[in-house]
Amino acid sequence: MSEEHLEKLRQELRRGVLVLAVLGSLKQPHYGYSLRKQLQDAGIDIDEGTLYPLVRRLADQGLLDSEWQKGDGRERRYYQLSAVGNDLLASLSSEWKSLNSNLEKLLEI
Amino acid sequence: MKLIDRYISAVAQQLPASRRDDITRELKANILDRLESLEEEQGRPATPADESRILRELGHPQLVAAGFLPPQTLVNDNWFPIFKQCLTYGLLLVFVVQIIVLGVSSLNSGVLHIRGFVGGFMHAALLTFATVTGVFCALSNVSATTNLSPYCNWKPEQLPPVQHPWQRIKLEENVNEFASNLFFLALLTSAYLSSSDIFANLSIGPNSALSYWILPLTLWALFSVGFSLWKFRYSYWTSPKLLLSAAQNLAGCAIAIGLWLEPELFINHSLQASVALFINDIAHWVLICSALMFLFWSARNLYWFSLLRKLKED
Repeated sequence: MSEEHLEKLRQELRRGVLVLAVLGSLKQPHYGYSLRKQLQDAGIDIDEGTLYPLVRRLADQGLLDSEWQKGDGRERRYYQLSAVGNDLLASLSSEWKSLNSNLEKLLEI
Repeated sequence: MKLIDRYISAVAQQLPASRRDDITRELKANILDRLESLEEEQGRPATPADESRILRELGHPQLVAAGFLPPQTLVNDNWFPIFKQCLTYGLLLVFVVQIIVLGVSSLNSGVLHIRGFVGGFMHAALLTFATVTGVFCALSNVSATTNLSPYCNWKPEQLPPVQHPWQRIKLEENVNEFASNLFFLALLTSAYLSSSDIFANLSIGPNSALSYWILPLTLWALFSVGFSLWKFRYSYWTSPKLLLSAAQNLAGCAIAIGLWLEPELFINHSLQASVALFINDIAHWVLICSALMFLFWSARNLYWFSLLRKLKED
């Protein structure tokens, strides 16, 4: 298998869990760049061109609340989980845990 | 104008007016944050080269703007297979119609209008492509907001009883056969209806002694056109269909051999004798090749018939 093929499959695998990672990070309020840093620090490297539109989409779906705040002389848009987003995160987290435990059983075989 | 402002302006240009200000305001704040973080890391103010690198990492303005919009496709995945099928059928239909137009116009003028055929086909094919794509683009947009789907009422019982690839009648083969026979039928009908003056005016014309072949040939072509239509409707082989096809091909072979046995297929009116002889030779070769092809197809039909019987017995 070529490196390119492996990278493609790796990206595909990660794409599915990005929403979960973003929702999980936004239990605390974050603006775009600070969210990216938080994800990077947690070992999830996601490029800005993917992250910012994804956050907007989640906000459009009502999963995130957002508001503009001024700080350090500049304004930033802060995002945080909405009540609907919170419920969804709980459901997705339990789905993820169940999937992960099933998958681990398969990978052990 | 700063590089970042130029970048934001380029992104804004690709966004709908209703969302433009909101998205670009946030994007600019994110870029400035990224720049600020870089300045902290490097311990010096960012240079235009740093700005350029950050913007390149972010991506081309068109791609970045596209990321903020819902995915846009002319035809969505749900409709694409049927779109492709309609496009194929549409283009094949255009090809058949153009073949008929070629036949009719050539018979009226006595000249084969190949250039007109190519031009007409290109024009009609482009028009078909644009129309079919437009219709499916509209259907995709409608189905995005409704539950409209081309596959909602399908039933497994409606699938053709086919196990092996050879049991399917290939669309391109059937179209080819249908178009050839229709063209051939147009030629025969014209030969039957035209006065002998038309042929007398040609440099080389069909031998009038062959006129008794017109009726069997016309009947054979008529049957072949009808049979092709049947195969379009039910595009898989069954035992009766294979036997009929074998008989049709054998009849075609017999007619081709009968014509091949005729010593002179075309009568020379005003061509050089050697050229007329050459044309007659070519026609004989075409006939014998056709006879062999019909024989091969007939044998293939019978072979498939035996395979189909074995399948049924199993």
